[in-house]
Amino acid sequence: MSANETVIEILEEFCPGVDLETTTTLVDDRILGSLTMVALVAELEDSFDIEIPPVEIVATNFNSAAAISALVERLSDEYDD
Amino acid sequence: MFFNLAFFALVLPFSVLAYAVAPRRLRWVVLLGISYYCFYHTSKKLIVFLVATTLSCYLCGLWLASIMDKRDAALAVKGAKRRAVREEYKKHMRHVVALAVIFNLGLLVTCKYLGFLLSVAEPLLSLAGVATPIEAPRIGMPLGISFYTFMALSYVIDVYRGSVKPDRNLGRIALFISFFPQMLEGPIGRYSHTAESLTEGKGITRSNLYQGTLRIFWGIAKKLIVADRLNAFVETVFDGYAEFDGGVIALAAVLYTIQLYCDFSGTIDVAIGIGRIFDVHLPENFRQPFFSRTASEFWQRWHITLGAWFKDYVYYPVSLSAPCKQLTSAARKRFGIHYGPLLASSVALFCVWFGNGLWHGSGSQYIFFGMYYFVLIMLGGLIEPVAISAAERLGIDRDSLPYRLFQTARTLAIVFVGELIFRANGLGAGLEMLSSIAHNFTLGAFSRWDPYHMHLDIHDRNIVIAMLVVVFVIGYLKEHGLDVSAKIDSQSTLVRWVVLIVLILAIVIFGAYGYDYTPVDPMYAQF
Amino acid sequence: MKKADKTNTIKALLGTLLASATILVALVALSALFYPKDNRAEYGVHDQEANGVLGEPENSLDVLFLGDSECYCSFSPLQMFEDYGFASYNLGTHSQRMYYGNSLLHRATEHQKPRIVVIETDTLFRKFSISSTMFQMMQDALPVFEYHNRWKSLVPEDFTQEPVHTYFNGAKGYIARFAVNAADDEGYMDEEEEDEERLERIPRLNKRYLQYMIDYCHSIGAEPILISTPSTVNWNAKRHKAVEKFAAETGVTYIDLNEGEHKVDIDWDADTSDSGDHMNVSGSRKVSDYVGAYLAENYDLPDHREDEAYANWHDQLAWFHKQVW
Repeated sequence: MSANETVIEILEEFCPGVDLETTTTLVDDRILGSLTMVALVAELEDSFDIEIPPVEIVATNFNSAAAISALVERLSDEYDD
Repeated sequence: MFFNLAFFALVLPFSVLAYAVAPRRLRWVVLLGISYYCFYHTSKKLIVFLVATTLSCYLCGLWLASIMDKRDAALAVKGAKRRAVREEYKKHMRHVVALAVIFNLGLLVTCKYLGFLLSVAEPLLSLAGVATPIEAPRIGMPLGISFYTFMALSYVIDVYRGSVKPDRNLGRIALFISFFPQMLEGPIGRYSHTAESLTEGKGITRSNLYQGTLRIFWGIAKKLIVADRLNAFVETVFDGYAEFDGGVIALAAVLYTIQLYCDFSGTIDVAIGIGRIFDVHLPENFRQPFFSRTASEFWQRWHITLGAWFKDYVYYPVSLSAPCKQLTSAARKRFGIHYGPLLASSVALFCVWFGNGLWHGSGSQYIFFGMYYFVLIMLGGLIEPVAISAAERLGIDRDSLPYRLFQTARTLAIVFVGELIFRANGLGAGLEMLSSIAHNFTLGAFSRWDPYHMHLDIHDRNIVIAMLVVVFVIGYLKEHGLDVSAKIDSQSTLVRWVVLIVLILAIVIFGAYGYDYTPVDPMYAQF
Repeated sequence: MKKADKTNTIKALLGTLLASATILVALVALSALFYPKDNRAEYGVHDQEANGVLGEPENSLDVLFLGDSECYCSFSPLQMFEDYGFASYNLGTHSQRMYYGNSLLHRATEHQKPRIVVIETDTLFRKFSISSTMFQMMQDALPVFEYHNRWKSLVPEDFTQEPVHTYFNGAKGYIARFAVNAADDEGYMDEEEEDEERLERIPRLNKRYLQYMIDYCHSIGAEPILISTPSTVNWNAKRHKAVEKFAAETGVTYIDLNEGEHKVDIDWDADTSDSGDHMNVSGSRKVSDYVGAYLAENYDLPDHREDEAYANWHDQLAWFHKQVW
């Protein structure tokens, strides 16, 4: 499974009924609130074995499934030794 | 020398003129000079606090920079254990940040909470057998310390996080922290957002000058026509609430909320308008807060920059800290993905709302105000899934207009109660006022309204309503994507001037200033 | 600069100039509209007692009194007229700041040529900001800033009538207080030895205004005099010293009625309305008697008591005797 597919699978649990392929305003439209965000980050960290620092929690990184996938891939690279 | 006639008629025109004629690379010096002049004029010797904060954050930024350079050199060595190296330097950097935070919060506490701390400490000490009464040294409050301290700390933390490059230009840091329109009440800006435009020295354009000026007068109109007009009534009821029945107290809570909004957002309009003239785009602090559907949404639309500060520098760091993460992981397995993370979030939320309450002051009503929103937002999080499924089962469309209106009305009620607690002279008074609304609510006072005693007559009522309609329409349009200011700016010269002249004359005639009124300082300046 | 830029700048400047002129014209028109059509409270005029001076016949007054409530509770023009013959007016207003006193002085001297202007000294210690002085100037130039709140009570006549000044104040600005509340005057004028600062500073801005008002008095041929009326609450040795120092530096006459050679014998059990803050009727009688005698003796003031033009003062006195004494 690619990173993007996993991300979408996780997101589906948090944002039921949202078309994740096309939506690019998950944060801006408050589909992901600050409470859900903490849960989502925990889920992502567990699934990908990465650490998402607070500085990365900005709208541009979480507004779409694609953006989240990009973030996850970048952080995985960074922590690869 | 702030937000009074001398400021608007002398200091502001002078600074615009000086900025315009100064050579481009010296323009930021003009802004810095005026900022320090205004600060010194208001706070005199207390300027040492501003200088201390500025220097400490500047130096910590440089210190972090040198650690980062060493880290990058170590990372560049072949075969280095990247993760271990990162961790090691991160620890160093964390110490530097801690130093900056402790030092600057220390200054803030010294100015703002020392009296309170000593008043708490004294009985404890006397219990412990130390009977000497301690007198709090009277330091006074440097202008805007609550606002600029948060801005300064955000710079250091952002440097640590790598989202901002450490700045070697002390002047720019000093100007970022002290920029005069922001000094009184914020908005609490971020270095990444404003610092560069502060020193760029862009010229004054017609469009910026017009829209900035329009915004300044719009802010003054909200404050003078609505907020200051309501002040005497609000003060009368809150100071002598025992004399009034629940109906009048409820009205006072509503009008206080309106007063606070028009005062605070009006002052912010002035700040943003002044910034605009110099092509410095300060962050918005309000986004039609009264259209909110939940308490948590309200706080994303009201005093936005304070909420965002707490979210970025308290909420996420706490909720993503190692202990909280463990808590989340454990709870998630037991309670599922919705309720599991709530536990860790609640710890973080508690820190946020305790901090938010305390930021306003050490009075019991402020702490309670914070806790009030903490409980409500937690409840909102708990109930939301239940509400969604209940609505589904009952066949209620959660996006229908009636349901949205219901949500907005409910949120407004929450906000009014919150502001009543916030304004009351101490928590006890606030609770008594609430109880009076609950137990002694009559409309009797309205039929025998005494305009002289209540400081509000029928003309006041009409002008407040008229002005609020304008505020509402502009907010409604903005909510639907139409920026009225930009729209006016794109009209012909004649239209532009007519709008500005009408606004100015409306302030002159309908403003609550002069002989019949007591001037009211911008309300958030006390925090 | 490109040529197009230059024309744009010039156009913008011209536009701004034109718009400013429009605002100014509008403010002048609004001032005419909002200015009370008579100097009476029911027409919306502020400080009716002091503004009653506008209803006095031209060049009929010899002495003007300026100050805060200490002033209007202490100096009774009618009493001084009865006993010493000169005509005076009390321009004291509630917590008068010097910038407002200055405006009242100018307003009054548009139609009056006083020989003496008395400034009661409590006002010298009331602090104010540059903004308030600027606002006062705006109010003086464009009355819409002072009377804008009359939008609530405008009537059709406001649009058509020329303002008149038909009101004159019966007591000539003096306000009588009848209450009696004893004061503790024990040592209120004593110097506190251990105090390092021996005088209370007159705020810088106040000093400037005072100097300006003194110069203005001289320019219109009036003699400025500083008088401290008796008050255990508002007066003390530190303030006395400050005014004394100022008077010595500028050569202005200074009279302190609280102590020294000009001390007025006040019975602090009977002569104050609010425990030493203000004079009541009985206290003001003593003060007015002393000040009236002092002015009549030391300055060449005319006696109008036989003058036909001042007949109305006698009517007022009759009323005053009935109502006040």
